[in-house]
Amino acid sequence: MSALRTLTAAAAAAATVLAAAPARAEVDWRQFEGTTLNAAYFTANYIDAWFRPMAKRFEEETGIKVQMQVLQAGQIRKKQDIMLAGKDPQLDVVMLQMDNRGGKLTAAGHLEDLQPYLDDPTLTPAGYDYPGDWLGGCLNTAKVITGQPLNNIVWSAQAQLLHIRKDLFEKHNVKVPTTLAELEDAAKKLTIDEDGDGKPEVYGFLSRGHGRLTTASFATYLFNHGGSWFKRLQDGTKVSNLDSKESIDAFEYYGRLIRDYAPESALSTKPPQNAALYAAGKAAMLSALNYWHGLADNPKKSRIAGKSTTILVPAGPGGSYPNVPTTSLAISKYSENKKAAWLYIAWMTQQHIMLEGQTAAVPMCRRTAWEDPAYESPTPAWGESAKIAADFGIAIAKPQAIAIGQMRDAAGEIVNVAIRDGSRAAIEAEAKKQAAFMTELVAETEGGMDFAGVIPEFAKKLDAEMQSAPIRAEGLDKLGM
Amino acid sequence: MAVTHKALAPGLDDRRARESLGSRLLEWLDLQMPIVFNIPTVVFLFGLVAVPISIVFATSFTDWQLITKPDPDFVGLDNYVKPWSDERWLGAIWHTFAYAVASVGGQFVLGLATAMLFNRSFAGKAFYRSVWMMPMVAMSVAISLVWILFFDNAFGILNYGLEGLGLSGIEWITSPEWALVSLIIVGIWHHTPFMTLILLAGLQSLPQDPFEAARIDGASRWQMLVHITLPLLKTHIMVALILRSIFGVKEFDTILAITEGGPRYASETMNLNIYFNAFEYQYMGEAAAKGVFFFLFILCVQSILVKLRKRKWSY
Repeated sequence: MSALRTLTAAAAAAATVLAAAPARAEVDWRQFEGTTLNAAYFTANYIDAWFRPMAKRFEEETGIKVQMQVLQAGQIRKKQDIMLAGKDPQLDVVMLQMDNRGGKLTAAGHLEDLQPYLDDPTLTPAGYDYPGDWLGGCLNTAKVITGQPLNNIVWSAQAQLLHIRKDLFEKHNVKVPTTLAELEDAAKKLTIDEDGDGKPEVYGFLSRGHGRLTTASFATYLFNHGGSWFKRLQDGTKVSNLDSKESIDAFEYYGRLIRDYAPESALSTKPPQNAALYAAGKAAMLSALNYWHGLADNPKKSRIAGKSTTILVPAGPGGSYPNVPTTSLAISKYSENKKAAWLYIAWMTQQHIMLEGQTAAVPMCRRTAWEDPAYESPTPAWGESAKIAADFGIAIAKPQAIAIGQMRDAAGEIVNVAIRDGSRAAIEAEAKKQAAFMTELVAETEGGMDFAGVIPEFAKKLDAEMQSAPIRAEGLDKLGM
Repeated sequence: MAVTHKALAPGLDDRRARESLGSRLLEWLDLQMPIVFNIPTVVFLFGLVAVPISIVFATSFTDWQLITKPDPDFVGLDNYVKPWSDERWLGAIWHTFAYAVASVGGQFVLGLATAMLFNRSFAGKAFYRSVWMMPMVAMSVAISLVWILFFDNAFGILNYGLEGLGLSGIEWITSPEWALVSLIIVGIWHHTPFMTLILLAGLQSLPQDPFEAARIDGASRWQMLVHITLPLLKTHIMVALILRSIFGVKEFDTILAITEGGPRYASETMNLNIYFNAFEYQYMGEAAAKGVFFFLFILCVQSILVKLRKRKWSY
């Protein structure tokens, strides 16, 4: 009798819960059981840290297998482009950075409109909360062309930050920079030649100097100087802004920093090599994506474990615009498994799944992942700077344009002159030449398109309080006094 | 007497018919043997060479852009005319020519010297020969990464050596002036063993009589080299030069891995330019036209060398 009463009570309780539940239907996660999805991803630390373990769990929970093809970013982009141009139904899930190829793929109509899937209660869980739970900076980057449909879910907010050696700043009592002038001063003081042989043992500053790759690191310095990749004329025409006074100031500053305070090899090194040099203790500051902190802090691979943290790239005469080259997931327009692909994206970007990524040091785009009590950032300043960047950053890492490859090469040419020559006249001449080329390309390739984010009109300038918040969080704000 | 016809066993007619068909087929095959045996090769070449070349040729007359112009229009000879006003493409042609001539020249001089060395007898020859041949079997990208470390301005072994000698370091792969030179050095290091191999094979196959006669006549080593060795070796030299020139013009992987054609396009060769046009900028039409030109360029180089070998260098 007792068992019967218990059963009855349980049934009644269940009925009450069901009656109280919202009318929204539940997602049947196994509705596409047996499907295999093909996903094309970049090589990055988050693949092993988050994507692979989650793909296994996703298969257990949904019966959908995710076949991941992971290649170096340049290669996978080409592969995706060719598969999309060929309308290949074998490609289902596309990983991309909207500020890189987003405009091009959107303009070509290669990405599926995700809004109908997002609105479908049988495919999207009730508490999904997009865009409500997404950080502002991430949402800034999701749409690059005005009027663009929602064709991607932005999930990760890697930010270009300044990695600093806490121990060196403390040892030499150097002010942790909040302005670009202070950054140059710190780079000068921390370029240390201990044995006096004319070759520093520690270089003050390290950042990208290699061709087209420079745009991602240089962008913050460009915008913080008040420059920009493009501007609009009064009649609405989009033209290059790289020959403006502010942009040339930025080129001159960035070139000088690398020429005077970075190793001579900075012109040929790529981000992983810069990160390795920094982890080897050869530089006091590294301007790079925040995920390189994982390498610097790994005692097995780094000589500076526990000595590094990140702060925001200092403010310049034009303000402070954190650069957030986010990463998105999208569905190929030609996929034969669109609903299953959406189910995968929706599953991966749920709160509790993204929290797992966040705890694996992959900076996520959900606000709740950052604010969850279970989350602890690697260092206080890393957490503070990465979250501010994800919340207020803009997608400025590359000149957003259809002909983005050529635009990046053009900007890289000016950086090269700024580093190697460095004279104002040479930079101006090169900037003028490349700006004319870029403007001509825009006219040739972007008829009728309106790229949002060309100029960060919507971007919020960080105030001094916010700029120094990571420094305070790490207790470094009294240095240099 | 009535003639009785013995009934054929069931199926015999069919068998005879089949035998006759089979024998006819065999007879036809016997007669057409040269054609039949070449069919697989022709199909292979047609599918993997003629068809792609035809597609590239057809594409070269269109404005196909992989992403933004997926449905191309016919643009006539535009793609063949436009590159000739592009400084970057003209530079790429010069770099290709300079790289091929300098690297193949260097490979030839060093290859001939080492082939002559290894043609002599000395202790440990087999070991040294094996070590010398190692770069030839090394993977291009792997050796490129090692050379990047050697070329490093701040931490590279080359500048370390130069500075140790009291000289100033060189911006090997970061300056437009030295980037192509650096690649030529890598090219010479990487491919000289191939030149050595061919020339050594040639040296070892030369008849000894002329050398003996020359020695009896009192010829010096230099005279024997110039008047006997090189003339007798000309066929091998031309084969080596033809092969290495074609590969030198086509060099791609080490250039992409070491300099990516930079800085400031100073080491961009024709095929890198085509690669960037096709797969970075995705102008397939323009890249195809440049590809056709590149194909004709290689064909010309090859034809000139082959004709030289046939007309002037045969013995």
